[in-house]
Amino acid sequence: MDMRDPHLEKALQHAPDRELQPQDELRQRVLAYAEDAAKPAKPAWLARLADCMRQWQVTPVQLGGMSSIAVALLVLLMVHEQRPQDSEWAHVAADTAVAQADALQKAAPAEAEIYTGDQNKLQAPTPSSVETATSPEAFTEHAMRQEAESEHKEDAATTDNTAPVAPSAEAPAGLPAEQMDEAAAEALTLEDAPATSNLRSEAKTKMEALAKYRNGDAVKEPDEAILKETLIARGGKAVAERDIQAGVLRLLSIEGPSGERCEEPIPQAPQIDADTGYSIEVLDVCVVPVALVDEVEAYNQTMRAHQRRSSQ
Amino acid sequence: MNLDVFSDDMLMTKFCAGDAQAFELLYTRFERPLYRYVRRVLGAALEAQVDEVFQDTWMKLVDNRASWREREDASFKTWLFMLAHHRAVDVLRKGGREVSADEGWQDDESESPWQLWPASSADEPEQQAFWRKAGQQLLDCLDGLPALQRAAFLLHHEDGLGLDEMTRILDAEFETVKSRLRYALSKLRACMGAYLPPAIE
Repeated sequence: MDMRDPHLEKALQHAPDRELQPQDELRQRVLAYAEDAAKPAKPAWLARLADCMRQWQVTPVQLGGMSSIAVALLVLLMVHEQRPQDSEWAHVAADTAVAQADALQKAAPAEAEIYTGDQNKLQAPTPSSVETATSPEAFTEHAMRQEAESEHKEDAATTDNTAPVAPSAEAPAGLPAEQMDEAAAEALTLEDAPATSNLRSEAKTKMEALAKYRNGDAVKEPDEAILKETLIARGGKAVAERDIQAGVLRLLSIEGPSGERCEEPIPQAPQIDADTGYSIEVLDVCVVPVALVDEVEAYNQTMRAHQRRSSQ
Repeated sequence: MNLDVFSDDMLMTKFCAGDAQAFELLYTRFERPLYRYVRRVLGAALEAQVDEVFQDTWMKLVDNRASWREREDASFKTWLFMLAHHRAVDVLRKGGREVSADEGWQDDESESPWQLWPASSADEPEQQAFWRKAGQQLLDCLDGLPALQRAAFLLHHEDGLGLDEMTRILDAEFETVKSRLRYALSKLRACMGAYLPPAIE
């Protein structure tokens, strides 16, 4: 049904508002709104976040505060990421062992020179203090160095028995000093050759054991130094639980220094704990870190608890 | 792809499927007619709110595009003007403007003065000035009509909608819409005759 009045229709077509149109800004706003709506929907949480941000009038101060917190979190995260993990510590220990072996190999002839010249060099190199070892890496490094040094000292002692002896007060009288130095150097060189070879072989064995440990092929630590480091780094309870799971049942004991000086460990027959029946492994430590004592205690408690549960 | 070949309804369907360009073309097609409609329905008194109603209409259309398919019986144009009309009526009510007056009007077409006007089909240059003046007068007369009669007149004359479509937009019965349109025409004819002297004696 058409009720149009042609006159009014024509008048309407000539009305002065005929060419009126919304401002460009309004047009852009509507088109942008439609374009946003046509995009694939955001996840609900993202949409809620966007709504919150739109409704929340963020002042520059608030924005600055949030930025500071974000930067602090980022820094913390980066620091955390840079801390070596357990496996990395084992890797560091392995590298240290290799370095020690190389250093000892070089040191053998160097020390031979000691006997030929400067008397002051006869004294053993001063070991770095364990008290300064604040990190597990440093602790491990020191322990391995100490071990290597003691081995070398042992070799040197053997040499002392067989060689014509360094030019000291015990030197046999009657020989000229120069002749005696030459003889001592020759004897040392000859005697050190098998000792260096042994060290290299031991280092190689250690490396292989460490590689197995790192790859997860072996559960038990290849040497005491790694075990001590692992105990401090991971905690006695965790290490004990790991050992239990792998079927390694043992107790640990710390053998501290006897007297004022650190002495060489005296080899002892394997001990068996009377209560649990587990073997007792002795950790020889020159200076006993408190943390190690605590972790060994935790380790043993976990082992004993496991034994009690098993026997019930 | 040239979207101009698509009908309004097809463009709207494409927009619902995520095609923003389809919406842009729809907007371009209806930008001026819708803006004029909103502006004329609100009248001079509420001119400041024209932009707001215009924008709200489009945004509501975007927000409710998911329900577009449910309105299979209505064209895009009908839907768009219905949204605009409802929003305009809200503003009119809030502005205290009368929207429901459907008072009667005694129409006596035999005395309508524009029967002496130039024929509506005449388009000579000398008559352009007359029609421009008539157009301005018509806008003034529209301002004096109740909003619903004004809307009925505009939808029918300006936007070319039929009475059936108007019933949906105005949410009223067919006879009611017809009455409003008849009242609007009577008043406008009287109003135009009173202000404009006959162009042809």
